[in-house]
Amino acid sequence: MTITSPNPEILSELDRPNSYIGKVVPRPNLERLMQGRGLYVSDMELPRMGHVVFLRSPYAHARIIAIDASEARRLPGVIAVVTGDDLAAVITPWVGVLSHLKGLKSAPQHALAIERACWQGEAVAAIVANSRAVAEDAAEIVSVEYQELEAVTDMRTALDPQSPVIHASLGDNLAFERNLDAGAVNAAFADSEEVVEADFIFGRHTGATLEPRAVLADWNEAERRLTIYQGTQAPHMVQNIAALHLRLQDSQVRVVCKDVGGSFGIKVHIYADEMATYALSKLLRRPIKFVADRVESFNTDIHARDHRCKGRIGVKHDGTIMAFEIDDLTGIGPYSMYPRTSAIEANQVANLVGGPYLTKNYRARARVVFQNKNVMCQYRAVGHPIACSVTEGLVDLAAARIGMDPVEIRRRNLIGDDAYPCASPSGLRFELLSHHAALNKLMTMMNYEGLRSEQAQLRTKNIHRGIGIASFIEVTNPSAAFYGVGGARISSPDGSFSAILTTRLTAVAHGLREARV
Amino acid sequence: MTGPVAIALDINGERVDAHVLPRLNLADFLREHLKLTGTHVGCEHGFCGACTVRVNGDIVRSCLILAVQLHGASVQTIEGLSDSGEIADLQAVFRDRNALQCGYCTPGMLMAAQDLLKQQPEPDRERIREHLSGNYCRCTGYQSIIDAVETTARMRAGHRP
Repeated sequence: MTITSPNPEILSELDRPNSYIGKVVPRPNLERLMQGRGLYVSDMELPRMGHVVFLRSPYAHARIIAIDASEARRLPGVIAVVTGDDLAAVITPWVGVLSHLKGLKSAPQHALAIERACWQGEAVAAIVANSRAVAEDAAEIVSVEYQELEAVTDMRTALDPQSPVIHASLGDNLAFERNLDAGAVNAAFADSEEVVEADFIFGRHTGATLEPRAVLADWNEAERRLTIYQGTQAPHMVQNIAALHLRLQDSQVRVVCKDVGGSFGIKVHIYADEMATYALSKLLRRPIKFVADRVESFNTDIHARDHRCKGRIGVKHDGTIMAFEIDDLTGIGPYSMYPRTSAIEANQVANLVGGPYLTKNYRARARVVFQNKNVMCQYRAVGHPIACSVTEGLVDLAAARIGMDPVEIRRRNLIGDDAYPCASPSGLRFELLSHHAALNKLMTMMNYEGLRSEQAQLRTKNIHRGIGIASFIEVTNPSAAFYGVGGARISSPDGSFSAILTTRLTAVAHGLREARV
Repeated sequence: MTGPVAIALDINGERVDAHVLPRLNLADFLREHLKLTGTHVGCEHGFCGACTVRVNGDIVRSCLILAVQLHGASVQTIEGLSDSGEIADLQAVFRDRNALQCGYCTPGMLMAAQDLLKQQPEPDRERIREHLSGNYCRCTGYQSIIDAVETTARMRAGHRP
């Protein structure tokens, strides 16, 4: 039901208390977007605007011996070719750690690589020209002399003593480790009648927003103010961080977030090339625009979910799950991402494994290691796909081992619908879940028995049909508990008292949420 | 690289004279020279469909065709189709079905959908899926888009939605 008021003088149904709840209300920005009248950062132009293209390291790990840009600088239309040392004069490095992830470490990261490139795709020079095409032409004739260094690529050997340490100051390649031991895991495995182990391997993904990352930074040297137009999920965070690293007051930085062509968590981080764009505007005293191209997006947007997880489950012949144990390993590239860090995903895997089931016996080790690959961090459904695949894979393997139907083993172990409130072994608090009601409904909807008998019949004709069941708890939005935690500031860090709501469409109808606030 | 080449063409019913570099593609010509930014650039490889426009009646990827090839051509973009009212009904159903979220794919999606609806009065869902298979949407999951195109087809054929 769509409700609109034909006459704004008269109160509509939506003007009554709580009247938005459960109603479909019109999204205010659809007409604009459907008529090609949206305003994405990619669409924006400002007077004297320069376009930046980044020259990126072709090596996973290399020392930068020399950069010769003399020929590129002579190309008509080229405004500047800037290196890491040049840019360090206007922007300070950062370290992607948060205080609530104890022991997490990372090394100082620069907007443009200085002396050394640590992954294939790290920007080593910025070429600014009056069009992107000219900047790309110029980038092709910048000559960089590299000395290739040994690269750490395999997360399984990253912690070996013979592997090179990517950041000597850190002592090793271990960014973060979390150990969790709840209940009586050893006793539970000892009492198990069957124990099943498996390795789960997940490849890197990325979010692939249809509009690539885009930023337009406009430093006005006369007013000493920076205006950043950016497709971002966290404009207040951008304001705070840009000010911090450009040595400005928050009040000197304004962040404008217009339409955003998809985010999915890809645009909740601040990338080195975006920092470089803010800094270039300050250095060159003019608006600078960066829009990643598609290949650049695949190579430099955060990757996610590169995990190798050893899992173990103990079970009785009656189907009782006795314990879960995991040893999760993930490689995050050479730096923990800024500012929300690259330890969140593994942390969430440790939080979520075993979630829907009754057993209180759970042990987890999660290790996060550095490697010479593109940065990895969390995006949509942080950690959930890993945790769900591992948990449900183990439950299926246990069911197969004891010869029990995969639905039956779940029915015997899911937390009872009358058990709430309760908490998982990792400490997640659950309220009013209904796994059994949901499972029963699903069995009816899919006609589980009918599908099983059809599956058996088809098998005789050599047609192999699969039926998969997974239980799953999705962590809902913890609001400020996530966005303000551990020093990840979102607003008013200077103690001033103001509340400004400035979000735009990213992917999930933010305009509608604003209309309801 | 050779210098600019003169072209004259019709864009959304307006005569346009321009000098363009031979390497300039139509998407960049529309966006950067004519400021018709409703045509979006998603991949610049012809995969994503965000840059779909109509050239001489056929839909094309504007990132895969050069501006110099279009001397004498007639080009229509999302701005043209919107202002003429040609797809007003399709847009209304997209709105009612919430067939867009971030909106970045939407202009290309509308161009491709209108192309199908002009070719075939009442396409079934499979046909709609096939015709839109070159237009990526990362937000919606497509169901609402297919619903909107199917509903528009039925309305145009005089049925109730």
